[in-house]
Amino acid sequence: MDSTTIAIDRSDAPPGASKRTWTALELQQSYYASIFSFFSRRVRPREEAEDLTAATFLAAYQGMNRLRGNDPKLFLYGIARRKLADALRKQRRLTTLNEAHTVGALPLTHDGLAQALKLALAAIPDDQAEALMLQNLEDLSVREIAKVMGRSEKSVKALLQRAKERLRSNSLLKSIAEEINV
Amino acid sequence: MSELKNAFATAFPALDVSPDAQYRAIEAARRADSQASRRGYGRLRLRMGIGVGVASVAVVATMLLIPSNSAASYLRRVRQRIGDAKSAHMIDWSIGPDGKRTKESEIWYQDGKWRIDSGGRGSETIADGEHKWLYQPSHKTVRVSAADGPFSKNPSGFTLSSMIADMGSSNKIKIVDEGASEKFTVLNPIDNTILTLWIDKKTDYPIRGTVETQTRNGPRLIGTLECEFNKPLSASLFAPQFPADVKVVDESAGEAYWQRELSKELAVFRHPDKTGTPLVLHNLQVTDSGDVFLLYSGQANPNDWEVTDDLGNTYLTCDGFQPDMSDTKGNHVKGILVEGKKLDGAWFTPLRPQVAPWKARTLSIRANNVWFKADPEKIKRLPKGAMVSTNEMTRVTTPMGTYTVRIGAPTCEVTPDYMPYMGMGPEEEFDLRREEDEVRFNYFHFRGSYAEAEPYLRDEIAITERHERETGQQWLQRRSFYMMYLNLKLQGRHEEAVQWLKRVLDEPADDNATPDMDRALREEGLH
Repeated sequence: MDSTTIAIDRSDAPPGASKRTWTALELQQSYYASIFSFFSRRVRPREEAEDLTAATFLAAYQGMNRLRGNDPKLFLYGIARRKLADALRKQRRLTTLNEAHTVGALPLTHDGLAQALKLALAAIPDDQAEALMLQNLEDLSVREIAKVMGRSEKSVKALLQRAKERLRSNSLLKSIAEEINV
Repeated sequence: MSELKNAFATAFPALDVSPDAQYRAIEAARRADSQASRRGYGRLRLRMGIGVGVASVAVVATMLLIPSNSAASYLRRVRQRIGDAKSAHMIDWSIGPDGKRTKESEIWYQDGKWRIDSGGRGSETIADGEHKWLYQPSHKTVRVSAADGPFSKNPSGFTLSSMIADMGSSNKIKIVDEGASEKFTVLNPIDNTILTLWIDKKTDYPIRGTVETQTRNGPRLIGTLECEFNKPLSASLFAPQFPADVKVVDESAGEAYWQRELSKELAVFRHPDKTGTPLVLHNLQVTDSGDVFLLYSGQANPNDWEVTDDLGNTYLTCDGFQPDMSDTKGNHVKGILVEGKKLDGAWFTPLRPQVAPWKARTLSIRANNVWFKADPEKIKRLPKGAMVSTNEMTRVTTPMGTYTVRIGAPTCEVTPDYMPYMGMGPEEEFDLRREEDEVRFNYFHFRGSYAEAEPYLRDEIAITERHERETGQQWLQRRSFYMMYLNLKLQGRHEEAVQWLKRVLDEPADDNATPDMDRALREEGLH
């Protein structure tokens, strides 16, 4: 019989991730801080961020077979994003007060800029805000954001583009940024 | 762009990870690993030397998954030949880092009967399709049970063919012609090993095999296999004959005993609001090292229990005790059901090792109800785009009750007597001691008491190495070496720390290294 090779082509897997087998502990030690940071920037109190982080890792451990061949960081962010959405939905169901958010005068400082940014983000569509936050808080690339959000890279680029345009045209944000010279 | 990032960072500040949360997360991860490691593939991953013989069978099973071509036809023929074999004899050896060869197991099969001698543990298993005898010379015991398969659950029977069918996987195979034999190589992505089998061209039977793993210092041979097929074997090999002085334990009767025993209720805890399933404590055992094992039913997990005693001991939650074992569909497979309910278990060890002599103690077992409290009046909707929650829900831990009991003497030696009837749990003293060391190390290390943590990790490594020498089974110690590096580095003992990090390089499955480990290796110029 002639020498025959059967399918040992791993080119379909992401670089560095193809053969890797992660234990839960390795996953936890490598990414716990990042995922906790993801939640603690978005939800309060601390306990809720801790619970959501724990829920994310628990789901990851249960789905370890789906991790094979995938980037663990993006795998975890993908789960975290869904957990966050679930938590926010639950929170909104519990919300009894539907107050209009009122804006007082904001200080002309970096804190003021940060508050203005929050308000500006509130005024743009969820997916645009989410893409911007993943880029600027989690430092994810367009390719990575696309994976996490389950969209094409082209679509993410468009989201980011539109979001930045909306921020640039936000007068409050613009005026504070100009005043503090950033 | 950096200004925008700065603004984001200010607007959405991150909190630091609390040591307690980190500790709980580590414990959860360890529990998940432990559960995975008990699910067959994980066991193979952790014990690199185990089961070359089993692996060879699994390899052949993969042939079913190969696309139809000439090589696949050839492999299917080999599989068919093995499946039709009247007898088989396989010896698998593990090869230590020092090149020392230790017999891992020897397996005989003939006409539906099996015999498996385990080199490491010295146990002997004989199975005839109806009964299984497990002879453990160290315990001077023979356990007799209804046969459920010599290796593990094997529902479709005891022929080699049925074993193959039960052990299929999706490994990738490369075949190379080597003249008198055909060599095929399998990369097993699950345990990151490379298995090579040589097939006799005349008979289409495997002749021998090797198992290699990848390390940063190159491939390392960790096991070899010798096999023979269709050579008549002596019937006496499969006769369940054991020394006259051994104790014969009828597991069916034992199971019935524990079924009755565990149905009793020591304490019933009800939720403060009188809703939900009551938590029932069914059994409490204390070992000679002071470890506490609980069995309970109801909705709780090990962290819902708190154990203390009047000697001032704090108890840490250990891992790897899971009374019920379910299959992938969640169906109960092994363990004991109480009124149709699965038993859960929790295992605790004193924070500090017990010092002989054993002292009587009063144990307090507190059951907690963990729940979430929300005040809708305080919940305010923040801008949805910002995804910031003002959710006021807080986690509340409410004691459901405390069970207090005086323990005058240990109720069991190393592990509870019911352990063989449970889905999984520490099997021998080694499992117990290793786990005790690990939870104590984690407790102190992640609270910043590095010097206090160090001896526990040293002990864990030492007893693991001793176990490896005694049994020939190799354990992945990469994490232990890396943690020792971190611990010593944090104590300012950098040179000593680096020596431990170097040991990571010789560990199998190198590409499983975490980014943290990779970074450390790079920082120390070892990558």
